[in-house]
Amino acid sequence: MSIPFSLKLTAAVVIVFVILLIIAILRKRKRYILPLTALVILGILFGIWKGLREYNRTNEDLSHVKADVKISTTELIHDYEANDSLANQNYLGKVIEINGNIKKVERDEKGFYTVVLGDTVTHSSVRCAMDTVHNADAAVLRAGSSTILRGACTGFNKDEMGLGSDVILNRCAIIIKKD
Amino acid sequence: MMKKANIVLGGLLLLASLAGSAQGKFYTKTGRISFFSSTPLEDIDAINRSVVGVLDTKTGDLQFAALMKGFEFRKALMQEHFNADYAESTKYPKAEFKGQITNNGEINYTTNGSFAAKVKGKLTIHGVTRDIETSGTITVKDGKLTLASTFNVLVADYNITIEKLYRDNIAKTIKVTVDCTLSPL
Repeated sequence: MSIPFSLKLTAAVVIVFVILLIIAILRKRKRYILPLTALVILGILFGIWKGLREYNRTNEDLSHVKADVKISTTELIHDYEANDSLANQNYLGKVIEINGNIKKVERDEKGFYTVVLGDTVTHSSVRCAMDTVHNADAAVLRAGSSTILRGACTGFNKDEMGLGSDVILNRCAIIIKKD
Repeated sequence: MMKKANIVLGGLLLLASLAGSAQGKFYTKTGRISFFSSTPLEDIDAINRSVVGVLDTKTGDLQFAALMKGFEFRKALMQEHFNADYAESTKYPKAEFKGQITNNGEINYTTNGSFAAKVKGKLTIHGVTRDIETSGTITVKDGKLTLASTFNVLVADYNITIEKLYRDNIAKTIKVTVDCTLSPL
């Protein structure tokens, strides 16, 4: 896990100012001491603010995030079924914008929605777990229509239990509804 | 003679297909598994709502699979940390459990009620498989089964190392909670 670039840059700038401040103190250049002290304090405060913001950052609503990949349901399923480790390299953790037919819309006992994309002939699907802020959009979707969704790809469940294989997208947002 | 053989063969095939059909099996694709780490410094919890699970009520065979990237944290930074440094989700994308309900005979899957269940099996996380034994409850309600269990997992058991910097933030024992409602297959 890497520290964000902005924080590294801030730390580097603060270190430079601290060094300059030490030189100023040692050489008794009084007129530089005060501004450099102020810059060091400002830099540290900025770093703390940035750090806290980064620490408290929540997952983004994907309806506002640019997709890494745009793909059809058939193509995504095909890629995973052909070679799941290669497909993981291309899609795992990426923001995927996917279009396809709605097989069904599921609502679990806790009120969470999953939009299942795919054709009705095969067992394979792309299961799109909806971001709760977009639940209302999912509730009005109907099986048989088509849609475009955006979600984060969390991987592939091979058909190891006799339930059909599924590509899973998480935190999904509906981009376009079609009939 | 031939006809008789055909009938017998047909009967056997029919029986085999009935036995092989999913009768007695329950499944979910929206199961929930969450985990919780508590230290004086901070509490960390995450939930996966897309857990796949199958229970064969005839044999007690139980299987679960959860994609590691499917665990959602309150804070994005924690989620990124978890996937990159601890679970190494790109290398080990899935956690799996394969096991049995050892007291399957004591559970009546056909009537509404709550039953204590004992579970034994193999849990694979981060590419490491370990035997686990736990208990839980199976609640039968209107033809659906809700499986609930809580157990502890030692982080070190699964070759997950936590850097010194975060040792006080992450507990050595993680509490795992399973809450899955299974429908007939």
